[in-house]
Parts: sequence; structure tokens; C-alpha cells
Amino acid sequence: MMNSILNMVIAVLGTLLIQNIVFYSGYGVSEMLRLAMRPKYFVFMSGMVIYFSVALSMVSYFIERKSTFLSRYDKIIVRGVEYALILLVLYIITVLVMKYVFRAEQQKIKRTSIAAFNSLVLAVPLLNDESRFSFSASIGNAIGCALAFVVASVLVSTALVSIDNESMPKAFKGLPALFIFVGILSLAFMGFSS
Amino acid sequence: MKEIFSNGVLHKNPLLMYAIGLCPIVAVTTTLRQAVAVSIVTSIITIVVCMLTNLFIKKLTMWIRVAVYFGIAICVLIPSVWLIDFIFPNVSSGLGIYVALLSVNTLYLYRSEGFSRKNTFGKSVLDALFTSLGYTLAACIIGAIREILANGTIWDKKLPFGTIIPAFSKPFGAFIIIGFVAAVFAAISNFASTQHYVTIDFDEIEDEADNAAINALEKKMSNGGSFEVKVLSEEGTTYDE
Repeated sequence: MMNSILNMVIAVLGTLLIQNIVFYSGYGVSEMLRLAMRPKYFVFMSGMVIYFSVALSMVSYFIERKSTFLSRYDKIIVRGVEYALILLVLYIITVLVMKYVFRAEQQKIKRTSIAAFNSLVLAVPLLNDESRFSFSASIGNAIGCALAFVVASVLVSTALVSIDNESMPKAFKGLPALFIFVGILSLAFMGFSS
Repeated sequence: MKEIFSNGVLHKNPLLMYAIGLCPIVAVTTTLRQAVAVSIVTSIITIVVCMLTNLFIKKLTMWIRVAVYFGIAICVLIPSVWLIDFIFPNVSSGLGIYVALLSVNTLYLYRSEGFSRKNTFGKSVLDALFTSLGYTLAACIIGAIREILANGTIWDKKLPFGTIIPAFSKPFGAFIIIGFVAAVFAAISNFASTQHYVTIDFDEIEDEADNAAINALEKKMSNGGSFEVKVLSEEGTTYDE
């Protein structure tokens, strides 16, 4: 039991701090930028990304044990499709519960689809599979990846104010400056991991 | 048609102006060949989803539509990857798990929800084609620059450069290159733009019945041309509605 918890904590810290998966590998970077630019649903979106990452990771752990006869590349595609189908089912169940049990507003349901269908959520079980994580480490990795997404959004949203200045050339204002800022952050996180 | 073309390729380039579909571009388009491979798969998925959206899906409720888009994308992914394997042997295997992640590329969601379900079939197909073309163009420029800087090659052919900077094959190098390419596209878009941008703060209109803003809009409309209304959100950032 203690060993499982330790595995989970190590996986969370590794993915979150040492190798922030959004800056280091680019997973979910489009959604992260959009969330940073429109922080109105920040808490809701963050919660949803954590929920989908962990739920998909948990369900996928039991699927991945079955198909071991394929080559590495075929396995990635087949498992990617398997996990995508599981994610689709998870999304439908989640929206039905939100809609008919919690009477969630339309905007929240719209945000749920963005949180569910992003590359970070789908990447988590594939990364677990590649690294042959145990069940507890898989969950730890999922939590770490989702928290990395949240941390990245916070860091980028704080930069939005500072990159909005008059001395900047017009062509660089907005998204181009933000891309370069994210590049510098990515370089910093790469320094941590190496 | 000209407007759809210029919007898809330049003014509303999904990758550079809206940061859509960044994940595979940042991570694996380290060469021009890989950029072309990623773009072909993304384009096929986008065009098929947009066509089917316009024909069959547009009357469904939003959350079911999104699920159907994703279902179609999953179905189209495998044949698209087979096609890439056929055209560029050994390229898609270098994409690793990012091949599977192409099914969640938000480009098809952005165009299906933003354009295909509200327009005619012909316009919808053209929009999907030109938006995919814009994505492909941006991806190829970024892939080519990264390949030249990081490997000193282009399409696997050696270039006569003495200095190579391998760091540009890393994600941080990609972000910086994307930033500069986006700035160039923004400058060209500003220069070539025929659109008149009018920013309206609806709170202000509600409070003071801001006739000046309405008059400005009417004056612009009387001069002809197309318009894009940008709505100020509560946080003060502008976004297309």
C-alpha cells in the first residue's frame, strides 16, 4: 500500500515539476493557450482535464494488458484508437450525468468537450503504456499531467499582462509574443529535466 | 471564394492566428517530410468531418455533434495513416504516439462548429480545403525551418551550411520559430487585409447608448466590404463571436 502511494507521488512530481509535459512535449498546448487567454472557466476546465485524465488512465490500464501481439508502431495506433473510443464513451456518460443529474448549463457542457478531446488527455494512457507504469503510477502520471496543464495555464495567463506593451512591434502583439514566451518557458523546464 | 481562401490561408490561419493543432507541430514536425505527413492526415480528417457535418450532423445538439465529430475522426485516422505509410514509408513510425493523437486535433472541431454547419455544402468543402491548406502551409514552413536549422538538411538533402543548431528540433525551438512565423503572417495579414475591424464594447452601448460606435459601424457598412465584429469579454480580451 505504502509502495503504491509512493509510486503515485513520484509519478505526480516527476510529470509536474521535473518534466512539465505541456512545455516539454507539447501535449494539450493549444487548449492550454486558449484557457490562459480566456480564464473564465479556469477552475471548471482544470477539474475536467484532471477528471478525464485520471478516469481514462484507470479504465485504460485494464485494456492495455490484452493486446500484446502487435509491433510497437501498430500497437500505438490500435491502442490510440482503443483509448479514443473509451474516451468517447466517458465523454458521453459525463455529459449525460451533467445534463440530467446536475442540470449543467450549456457553456459548461461545451467546455467539457474541449477538456475531454484534447491531446493531453489521450496521451496519458499511451504514455503509461510506453513507460509500463503500474496502476498506482498510472494514476499518479495522469494527475501529474493534468496538474502540469493547470500550472502551464497559470504561468501563461500571468504573462499575458506583461507581454501587452506599446514598445512591441505590431506584428508581434498577441499570439506571436505569447508563442515566444511559451518557448522560453519550455526552455526553462527543459533545463529542469536535464 | 477569394475571401474563404484568404481567411483559411492567411487572415484566420488556424495554426498561427488561433493556435489550433499545435501539439504535433511542436513535438514532431522536426523535418519537412514529417510536417507534410502530419498535415496530410490532419487535412483528410478535417475535410471528411466538415463534409459529413454539413450533410448529416448539423441538426444534432451540440454535445452529440462533438461526439460524432470525434467518432468520425477516429474512423478516418487509420486509413489516413495507411496512406501516409504508402506515400512516405517509415515517416509515420517516427511520429510515435503523436500519430494516435491526430484524432483529437481541434482543427476539425473549430471548422465544423465555426463554419460547416452554418453554410452551404460547397462553401463548407472550400473552407475545409483552404483551412487545411493554411495549416499545411504553416506546418511546412515551420518544419522546413526546423530541419534547416537543426539538421542542416531540407527534405533529407544536405545543405551547404557549416553551422547547425540541434536545439531547434526541441519543442522550445518550435515555439520560438512558430512565434516568428506567426509575426510574419500577422504583418502580411495586416498589410493585405481588406476587412474593417470594429471593436464594440456592448456594456458601454447598454450604459450610454453609444451612438458613436453605431454610427462608425454604419459608416463603414455604407462604404462596402466585409466586417468582423469583435466582442469584448468580461476579462477585457477580444475574441470572435
